[in-house]
Amino acid sequence: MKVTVNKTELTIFQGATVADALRAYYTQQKQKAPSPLPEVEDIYGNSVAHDGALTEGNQLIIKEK
Amino acid sequence: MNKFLSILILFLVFTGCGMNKRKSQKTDTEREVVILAVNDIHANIDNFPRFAFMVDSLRAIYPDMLLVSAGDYQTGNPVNDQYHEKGRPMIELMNSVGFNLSAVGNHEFDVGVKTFETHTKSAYFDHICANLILPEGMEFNIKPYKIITLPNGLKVGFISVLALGSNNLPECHPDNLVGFSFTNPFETAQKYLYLKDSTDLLIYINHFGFENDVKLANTFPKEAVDLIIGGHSHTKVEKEQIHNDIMITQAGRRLDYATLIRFTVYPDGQLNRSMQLLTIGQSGNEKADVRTMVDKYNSNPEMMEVIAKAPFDFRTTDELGYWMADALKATAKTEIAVVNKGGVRIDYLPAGEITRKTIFTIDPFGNQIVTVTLTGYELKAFISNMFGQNEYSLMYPSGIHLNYVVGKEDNKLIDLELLNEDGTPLNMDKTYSVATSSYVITTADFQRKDSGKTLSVTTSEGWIKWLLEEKTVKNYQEVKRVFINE
Repeated sequence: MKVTVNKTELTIFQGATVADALRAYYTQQKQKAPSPLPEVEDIYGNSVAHDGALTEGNQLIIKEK
Repeated sequence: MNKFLSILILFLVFTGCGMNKRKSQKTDTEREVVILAVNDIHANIDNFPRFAFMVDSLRAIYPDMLLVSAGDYQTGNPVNDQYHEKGRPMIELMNSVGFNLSAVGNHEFDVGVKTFETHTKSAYFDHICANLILPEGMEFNIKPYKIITLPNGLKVGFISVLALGSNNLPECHPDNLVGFSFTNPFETAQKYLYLKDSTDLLIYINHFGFENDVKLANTFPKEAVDLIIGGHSHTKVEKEQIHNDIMITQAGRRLDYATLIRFTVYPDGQLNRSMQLLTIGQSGNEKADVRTMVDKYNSNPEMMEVIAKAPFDFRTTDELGYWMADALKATAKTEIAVVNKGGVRIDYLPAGEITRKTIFTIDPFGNQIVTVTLTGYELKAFISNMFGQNEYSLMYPSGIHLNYVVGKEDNKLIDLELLNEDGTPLNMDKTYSVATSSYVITTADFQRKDSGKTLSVTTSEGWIKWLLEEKTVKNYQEVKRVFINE
């Protein structure tokens, strides 16, 4: 399925979580994923937990520190 | 203040902010509907004593408060998930706290078809899901919707839809979905709008993800639906989210929060609504009898039950890694499995009894099993990429052998040979079913056609299930599947 992190489209396995999408995002950006992973929100400004389930087309935004 | 703002303020004063005029039975007094909603509890039983105290406190204020769950109360805590009747602690705890209703989440299926049926019959609360067709010949207590009539006469209709993946199934191990079928959640949701004619409030309590709930809200006709209580995406909705005039809530996950929702229906049929996200938190007052229940579950001997015996010591991480890969391959029923070295957390295990706790100690991460179809070339690219991410990041395979050729001085990977178990070269043009963990597949950077899918079973759960069937463990001291040549 396809989701976006910071407007970058990712193709990720069906059933992935927010944490999976973040790891895939950093991998695609050729960066090491920070530990702990950064906080994330949806396009409506709600916080989303790292273990949250993703569905097709979800859009995530990494929160600025 | 400009003229527009003045008119807007006057409008809000006379109409009432957050108020809608809806059809309702006329009475002389205003009436209230109060709902406490949680979602995605994921068997976090440790928060139940505080949650139970909160529920009791709120019921002292709102005696007719409805307590609802938007699905996925199961899965996420081995104390519950490995109980002799899988998931039983959650049913008993939800019964004790007095839930009225739960949506069916994808993880409710994890306990297995027969056990799920038992749960729906032994729960004091109702399960609802409208886009689920039940297996024939079984007696699940799951209905598409539920109408609750409150003591004040108000009728509240609850309908639920469940998220489906691209295969039109919920995210769950296919073995646990045998006999069930599912219908499109968006289309199904529309079919129950007629319930508005026989209820005062119409509420969808979905396990669908927040963004899908927004899409769904935008498909509903005006004033047909009053509220969507959501789950699945673990979204923490702190401020009112109104889409197409429908309030959408969700309370994070794991009983960190609960949403208190209040509707006031006025004698003239107008409706006022509000929501507040309440923190359940890590400390505070607890309900004593629920604490006793939780302590009993946590001291459950199931975790220490012997599930298999190892006749030989595991002397290295490699030996444990091969064992883990074999478990993964057997559970996922694939031709090949690969496990990353960092996924094995101990480097020695003495011969003897193996308990569930042993497995959670070796593999504590809770990563999901993911299956993916790869060509030999894609598999080579996958394993090569993992090697390069951290120095000497080896993969432990099952179903194949790996021959790493590494530079003498820089430790860089020069070549990787994939071999069949008999030592012959793997057919690189052929496609293979491969199992790995959700962590590994998301951190590997390689081109492939298939992005894969989760089995919705953690690697440790799959391992335990396999051991329960196998009972004994072979000698891994003689096993060697990874070769390094300089």
